[in-house]
Amino acid sequence: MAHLSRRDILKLAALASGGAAWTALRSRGGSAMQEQKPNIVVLVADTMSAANLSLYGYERQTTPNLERLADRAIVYHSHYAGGNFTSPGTATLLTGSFAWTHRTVNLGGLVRRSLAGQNIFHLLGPAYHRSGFAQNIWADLLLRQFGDALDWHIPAPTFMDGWGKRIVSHSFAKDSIGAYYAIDDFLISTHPVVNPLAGSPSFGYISLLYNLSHTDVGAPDADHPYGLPTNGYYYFQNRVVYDGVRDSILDLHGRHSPFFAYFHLMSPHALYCPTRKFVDSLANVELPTKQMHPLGERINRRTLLENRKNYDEFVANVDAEMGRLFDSLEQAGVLEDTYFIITSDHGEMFERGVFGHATPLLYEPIIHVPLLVIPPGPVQRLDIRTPTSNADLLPTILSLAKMPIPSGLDGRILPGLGGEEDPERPVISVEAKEASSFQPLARVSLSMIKGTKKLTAYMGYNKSPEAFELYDLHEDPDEKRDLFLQDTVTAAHMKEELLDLFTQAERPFQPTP
Amino acid sequence: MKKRLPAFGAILPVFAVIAFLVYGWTLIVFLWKLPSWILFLTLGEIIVIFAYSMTAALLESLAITGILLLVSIILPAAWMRDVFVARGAFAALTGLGAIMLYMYRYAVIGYDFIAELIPYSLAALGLTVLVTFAAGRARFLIQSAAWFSDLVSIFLFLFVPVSLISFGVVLLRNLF
Repeated sequence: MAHLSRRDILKLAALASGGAAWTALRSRGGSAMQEQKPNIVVLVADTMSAANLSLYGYERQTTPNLERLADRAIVYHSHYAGGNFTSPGTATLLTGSFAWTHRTVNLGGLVRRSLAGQNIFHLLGPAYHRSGFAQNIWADLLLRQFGDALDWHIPAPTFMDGWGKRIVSHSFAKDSIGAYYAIDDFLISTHPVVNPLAGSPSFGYISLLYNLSHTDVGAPDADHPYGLPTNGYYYFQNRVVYDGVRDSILDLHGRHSPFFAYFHLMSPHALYCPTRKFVDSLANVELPTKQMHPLGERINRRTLLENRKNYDEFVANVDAEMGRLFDSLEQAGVLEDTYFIITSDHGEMFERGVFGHATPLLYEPIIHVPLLVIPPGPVQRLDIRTPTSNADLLPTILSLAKMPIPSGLDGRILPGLGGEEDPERPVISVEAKEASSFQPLARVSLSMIKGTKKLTAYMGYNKSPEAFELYDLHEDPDEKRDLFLQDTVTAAHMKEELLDLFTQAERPFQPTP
Repeated sequence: MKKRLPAFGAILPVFAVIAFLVYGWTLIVFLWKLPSWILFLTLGEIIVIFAYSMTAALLESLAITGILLLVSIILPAAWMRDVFVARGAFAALTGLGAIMLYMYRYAVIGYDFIAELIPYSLAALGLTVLVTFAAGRARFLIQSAAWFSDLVSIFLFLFVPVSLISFGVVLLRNLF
């Protein structure tokens, strides 16, 4: 070994300390660049209709906490879901496209395979730590479809209280989608409405025995007079779920920067099971009288009123949990560097003889959903009244994350977050659960909102082969007065535009001559 | 232990009857579900469901045969082993038939019918024991079991290879 003089040692020490300083500077510079990207959390409350939120003027005080949060948020007053149930609604949110493009139109469907890479997790890329959690199994299926782009897919049963009916497919880590359709949805499925006939007689029978032995799991208790909320498979308590979400966010905030987290929580989806505190907590409100629709049901007024009361109480319960979540996150300092987005995948109906959202109809209560964006730090409330869509979330999130936005998206950057208000922009919702997602949508309900006008089309139904309705949502927010045969100029323009857009969207699915 | 088991030549016809019932049910429900899957699943995804279904049908058939063999081991030879084809075939026909009837009724009536599950199951079990007992005693039933099991054995040439290929597909999808 060569002899080193004192001078050589000093030179080496200087070089080493200089190198260490350079490394430190580089890493600081790197993290400074990283710090420019904010954390983003999307919280989806399944089946939360804007029509039943006091935040948007509903007579019952269902959302005092959201109103409190709104003081520091951008509040979107005309925000629309991509469809009227979970699969299209969630897919629109995660892919930035309308349902006629992503084709997740059937119950428990997947995003068009050629479009599967166009999802928020993939597009954010590895610069973000990306996590997702969905209690709704059909939303969880979409997370499974996008699984390659997720750094942390929190399993659907994580914050549950107990099984009512087991899901086994999430144990098949490598093939959870195939296992879901084959096992959960076929071989052992005993869902009384969606899929009652199990594909395997013995395994189906064992599954029924299991269900029977677990009927007491979600039974009413002192705090849950209507029983525990359920996603159809397991029972849960919203307090536990929201605590779990809080802990997950705190964990992500402590360990990853930047991070993107998607939480799709089941409540206030049916069954409506508020805690005792919220039962009979709201004032009585009359149900507006509205005309029945030929494609609707004939559920009596009393049942509608009763269900709406339970739903409203459940919404108030969810609102309280959201308030608790935000208070604890604020205390922990998470809100200082994190965008929070609160929305829903679709709404719920208690009018025109229809209860729930298993309907071809596209009236406001079922597609008009809340959207609040809470930017980091102290911000003045901003109200946006031009129509926006859940398809806009993807480009907006990419823009906030300073990531490139792919061309050809149906969604646009939200006004208030870099986008322009455009009242002429058409916002589309699609319902086509009985149509093939691989072929032109033969039986479809379409809704186009432009400014204050809303055109709805019902096409291909036996009872109503082609019907259009036109409403002025500013003059007539309850959609009681159909203007299609009165305002013929607007009706003709909007019909032409909607059918043009529809034809354009259907082109890739038309059979080649 | 081996002495207490029926001969392979007696096990196979009973397995054939069980497989006929189980595969038949699975295939019928599969075909009933197919029109809805065609709306949103690709051909490849439907083939995957088929592979899982055929694998499950094989496992189910083997498990039910295993239960009957266990009964044969436990009971005196004259009660089950010596008349395994007749009693095994009728036990499978009655037991599985009762389960299938219940599953069908559940699908038609809905969730309220689940309350009937325990009394129905006990009644079905009683009936199965009765029929199984009678099957070993009546000459006509013994001959009928032999004739029917022989008839449906042909399906094993289709079910077993399809299931083995399906099992391979399921295994590959879950390993890689």
